[in-house]
Amino acid sequence: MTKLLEVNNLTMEFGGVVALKEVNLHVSAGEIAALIGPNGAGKTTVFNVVTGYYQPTKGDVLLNSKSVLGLKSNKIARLGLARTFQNIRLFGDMTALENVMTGSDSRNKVGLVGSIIGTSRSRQEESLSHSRAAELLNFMGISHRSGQLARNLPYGDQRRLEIARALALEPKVLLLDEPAAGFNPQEKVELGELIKKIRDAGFAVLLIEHDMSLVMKISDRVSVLDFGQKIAEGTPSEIQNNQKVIDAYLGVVDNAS
Amino acid sequence: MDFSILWTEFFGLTLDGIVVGAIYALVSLGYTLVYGVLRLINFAHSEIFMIGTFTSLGLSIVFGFTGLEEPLGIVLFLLVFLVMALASGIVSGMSAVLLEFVAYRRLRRRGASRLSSLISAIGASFFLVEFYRLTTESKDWDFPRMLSKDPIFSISSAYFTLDKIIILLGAFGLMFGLDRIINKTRLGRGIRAVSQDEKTAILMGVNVDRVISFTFLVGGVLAGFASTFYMLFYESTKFNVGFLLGISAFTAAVLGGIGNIRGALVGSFVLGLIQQYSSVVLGYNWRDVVTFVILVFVLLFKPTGLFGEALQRARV
Repeated sequence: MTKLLEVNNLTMEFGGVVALKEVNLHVSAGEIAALIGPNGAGKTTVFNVVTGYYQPTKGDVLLNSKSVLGLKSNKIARLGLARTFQNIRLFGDMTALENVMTGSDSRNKVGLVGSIIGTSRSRQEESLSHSRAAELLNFMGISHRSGQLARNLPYGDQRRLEIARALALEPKVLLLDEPAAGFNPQEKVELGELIKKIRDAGFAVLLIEHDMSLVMKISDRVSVLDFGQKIAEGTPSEIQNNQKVIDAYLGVVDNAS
Repeated sequence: MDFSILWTEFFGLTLDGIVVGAIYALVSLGYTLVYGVLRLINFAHSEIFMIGTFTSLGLSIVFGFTGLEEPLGIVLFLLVFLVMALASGIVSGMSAVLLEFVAYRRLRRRGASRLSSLISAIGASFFLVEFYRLTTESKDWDFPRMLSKDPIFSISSAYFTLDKIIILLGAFGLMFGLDRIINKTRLGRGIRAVSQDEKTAILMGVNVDRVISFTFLVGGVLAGFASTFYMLFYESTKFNVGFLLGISAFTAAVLGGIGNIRGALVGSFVLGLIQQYSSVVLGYNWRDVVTFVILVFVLLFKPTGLFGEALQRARV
């Protein structure tokens, strides 16, 4: 399997506090990779570094075997990394459809003059963006929300809309930050099916998630972070039987539940 | 105070208020759009307008219309006026883009505070005013009357002259065009996305530098068109013409809720009308006092303006 996203020896320090220490991760084509770990383990920091929001202290991030370090976030997004957010960050005063179109806009090429005077190519692109966005809303099961303002959508649909917007970038790797947060068990099952559908549609997925049953059910490979270090990596069943992981994390969850 | 003129002249004042409001609207959109994407009051925007008035004036000189005695024929006028408006729009638009590049971009890249950018804005404004003071001999420049100002028709005391009709049609056309750009093109979506959440917009692949340049361009082009309308209506300009007009347009933007496009439009027409009505009740010289009082009162008691909620949300 080709490695689409590689994180090599990544160290991230914030004024002496080590958030990530020599972390190695990768996401291969056609897989759902999961990143788990207790709160504060550094999972979201990984997302922030690979999307160019933070500059790492050490290490490298490769997308399609090319380093993306130092590139602007919008460039990295266009090269094929799109993310969702733990705390939803939609464009609230835009409709659901417009939110998704904003995601696909970076793929379009018509410039300033073309879009103002409305050349046939700009109209073509606009209608293509429009129909692709509508397809994605349909794919996420929220096409009935198309014309509604994002901020008026119910919570679950806002989460689905964020995924649709990220998919509109046609990413090589889709980064999902706790997509099941706040979902009920039934919704979590549906979301799991949806993420598998996204993988089968050709997008590799890197998933941060706290819900272990969801992670174990859909992931092809799981990496575990604890205090900024990777302590284990393997198939879901290997991770479930890994003593280090049980000590650090799963054991606590098992006792609690 | 004299209210009797207000009643006899009511329709005429209303028409003029709408015409002046339309000019304010085109300028105030520049303030509000830039504020939306940068959270910065572009105090040099009034000078972008001033540059436009001198572009129109310069063309009238180049065309040899200085001291014109007979108005032009309507077809020739429309042609000349279109060239002037386009030239002023292009010059003002390019000036605004250049202004952003020179005065703001580096500060923004370095993560400087908004206060630094504000000071830079005021500095840029002073520079442009003084530059034009020196190059235009700090005198009033008359714009030739290229069009007869005899009324075409009237409703009560409202005399519809051709210049007012052209300004209204032109301004509403531009507002309609802007609405299309903002709501129906990818650059418009970029502007809205950056206005609402810049960091997320970047992560969704939006090129923020480009969006910001485009915003300045649109604001500058609108101010340029407004400047040609202004010249047609007032027939005179000076290096400091931008100051009072800029304050009025800025007040209109604040009145409507800065950052909000619909607010800037409503605020402009409301302010235009208030200025016209108050100028006959209190005397013409009080017009600008009224403007400043409105500005101060809105900032003190309703800083979000008439339609300010959208911005408050976007600030989070």
